[in-house]
Amino acid sequence: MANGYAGKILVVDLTKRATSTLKTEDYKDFGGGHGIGSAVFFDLCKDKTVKAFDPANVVTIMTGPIQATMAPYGSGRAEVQGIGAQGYPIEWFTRSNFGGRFAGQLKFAGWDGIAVTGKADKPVWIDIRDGNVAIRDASASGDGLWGLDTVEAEKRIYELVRGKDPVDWTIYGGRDSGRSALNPGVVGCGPAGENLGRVASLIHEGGGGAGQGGFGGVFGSKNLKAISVIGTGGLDIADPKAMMDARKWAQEAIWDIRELKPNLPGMWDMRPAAAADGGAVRDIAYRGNGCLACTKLCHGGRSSTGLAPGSHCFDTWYSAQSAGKWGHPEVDAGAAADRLQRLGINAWEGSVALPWLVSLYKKGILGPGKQIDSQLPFDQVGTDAFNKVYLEAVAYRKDIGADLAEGVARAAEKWGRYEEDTTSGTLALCAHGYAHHYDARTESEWGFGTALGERDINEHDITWVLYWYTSFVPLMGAKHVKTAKEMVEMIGSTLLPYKDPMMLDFSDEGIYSDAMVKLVSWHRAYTRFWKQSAMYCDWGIADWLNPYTKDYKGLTPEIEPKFYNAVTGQHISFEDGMSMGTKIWNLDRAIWALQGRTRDLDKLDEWQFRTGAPAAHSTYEIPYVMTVFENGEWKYKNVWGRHLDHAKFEDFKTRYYKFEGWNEKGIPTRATLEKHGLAKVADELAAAKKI
Amino acid sequence: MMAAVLTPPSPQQAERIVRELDYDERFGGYLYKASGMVNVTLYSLESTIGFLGKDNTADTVEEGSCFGGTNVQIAYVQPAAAAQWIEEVLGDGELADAIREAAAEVPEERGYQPAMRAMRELMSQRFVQCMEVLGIDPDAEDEQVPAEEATQ
Repeated sequence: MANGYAGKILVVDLTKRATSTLKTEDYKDFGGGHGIGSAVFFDLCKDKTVKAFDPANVVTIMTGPIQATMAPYGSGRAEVQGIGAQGYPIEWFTRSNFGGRFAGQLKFAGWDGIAVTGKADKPVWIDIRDGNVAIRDASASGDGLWGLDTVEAEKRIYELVRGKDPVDWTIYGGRDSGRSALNPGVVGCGPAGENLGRVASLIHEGGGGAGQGGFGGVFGSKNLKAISVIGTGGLDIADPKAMMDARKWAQEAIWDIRELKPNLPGMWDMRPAAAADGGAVRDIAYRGNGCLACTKLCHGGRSSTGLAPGSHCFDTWYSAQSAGKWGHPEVDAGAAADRLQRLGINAWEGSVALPWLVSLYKKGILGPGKQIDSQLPFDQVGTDAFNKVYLEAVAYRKDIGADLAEGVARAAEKWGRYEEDTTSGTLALCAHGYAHHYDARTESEWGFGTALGERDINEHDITWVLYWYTSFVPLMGAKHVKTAKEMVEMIGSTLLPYKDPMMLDFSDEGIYSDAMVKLVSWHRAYTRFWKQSAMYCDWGIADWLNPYTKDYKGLTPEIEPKFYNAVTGQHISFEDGMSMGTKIWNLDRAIWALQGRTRDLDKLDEWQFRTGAPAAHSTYEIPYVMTVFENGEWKYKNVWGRHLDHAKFEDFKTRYYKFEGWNEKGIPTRATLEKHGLAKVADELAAAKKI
Repeated sequence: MMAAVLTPPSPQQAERIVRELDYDERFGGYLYKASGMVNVTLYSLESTIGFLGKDNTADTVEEGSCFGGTNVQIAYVQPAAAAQWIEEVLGDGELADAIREAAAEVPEERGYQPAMRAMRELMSQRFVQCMEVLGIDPDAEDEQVPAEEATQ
């Protein structure tokens, strides 16, 4: 199997210390990435009700056809799936994703993905060198990786694989065994994962991380420190000329750094790329840095580890918000991010954990000798000293870190705070135990999509244009380049197959409308296939408002199939991809049903139905500008301040289930599953008496 | 825009203005950042100044163009709400009025930044005055419990 696929998937059983191979061909109907990962998980994890830390849990790391090619926005992405440790109250089958070089190395080594099951009897790491796979001793008496932080472990693996100083650009292997001047791609857990943290992430190259889901803890539960892969092969694509033509087509709109054009408020700035190439702008404050073959270079040198690609804003967020928030803007956000990455802790969790903990401290509930007894120095929050002791407490389960390592939802439950604090919003969880992100009360596709799924969706398609850009315009004193009507018509025309601009009505009524049902459904399908299976990066597409094109029209829906088809030789349309996305979404939903998903678990935390703004001495509206259709006309409107309505949300769910072909419990019907070619999934649901 | 010159506070006023606040006295801000918008809870004038210092648009917004893209972060505090909080909680009517006046001078079409910068400048001016009145060196290291010892 060529045309962008390596052709085989590696299966590692750590209990048996055995490896086997699956044919990618057998999963081709799922496209790649997430789709194949879900299908492989479904086949290999016989009992979907096992816990995250059960040896029978299966973790997959998958690529898609465009990885390791010259397609922009995705060549370096890898999709991680399995039963995650972070979900609350149920450890849902979930996903995460990371960029960098791992995906490319995996395919150059001849693998489309890896599935890991079982549990090693002592710490191990998986060493993949082309087709040779070894399960090696990671313990202190072996290669000494267990106990190291993620950066130390990665450097040690470089030495072990290359056998020389990792900064010495010598050739791996010999004349007849393939050659590479590169270090292997490594992904692994830090101390937080080794200690079974539910908020433990997987880290690649110091800054790339699969944060959400708690897969670092799942690695730890399997006694698996890291996976290393180095490949010396290549990858055949179907139509190299079509690839180059597509790149030339896209260049004008996304990376023509020879002619830097004016930007739009909040939209992507090409200066990092320009600086990296010595192009039009060289005075940028940081060095552009990015994933394999990517032109966006969003990992802008924010890490001080020296390991590319460095931390992203997600990772500096913890320190940035804690430092600025608590009056210590001088704190080095990069250094604090490094500490977080080295320990392997989910950066986003801290965004709600710390404000909540401080509120408990301020109320006299948490502290030395208090109801929640803690010796952590909350009087020093925001300082480097606090960051160090707080993060190490979480990673090594010291002090209240023992509870926080379980995730704030479980910590709140243990402390008897969950009900009160998620009702008031002091503990701002969105759903399923995951931290609030973009606002469910204003952005239905994000909030409702999260409620209907299993984690914070973290998909910025609508957000970039209809909240981020539209809110930055007034904040920056700029002028809209499109009227609201022009904007929704431009974007609406790309919402195939519906082409309905009413899907972009975020008015008080619009967020519960039938058109919004369609948007949520569209978005679930779009992201499941084009982003997570074809695996274009979330920060690349959807491209809906482009500062660099005529009339600002983005490259969606042309870019998605253009590169995919050039690589695969297929001729699928954008709509074909959407159908595959719906199929994959239904497969995921069926797995959740097998895990015990019921309608009442499709929910958002209560504060989002109670409060319009956080209670403080002064509360006020902030610019959260979106498109609304009111009194017969489109306009940009600040929709901040409202809260959700239970009855309307429940009615929305009923109509959504019907639209997707699910029963009243929210489970895909046999007819729906068979329509998508998922008859065996329906059989398993029937056997479990779910349908 | 020239910031008003504030009258130095009395020691009693200064102590009230710069004190660490209780939970019920807290103020709220919002940090816009590409990775998400998060509510920010503020427990002192100093932390509010620090929060506003996270705004980097002075470096990224130029006349007629917007640079910085997704690296831009805006530290948002509504000036009217800040003035109310400063007057009612910190007891500083003069600073509150100065913020209101500064914000009123900014035409809506110029956006948030001019008002934010004026607000930050006024708050900083007041904070330095308070430190001087109280005889505190604002650049001196806080006396802190060594964090590692605290968890032994």
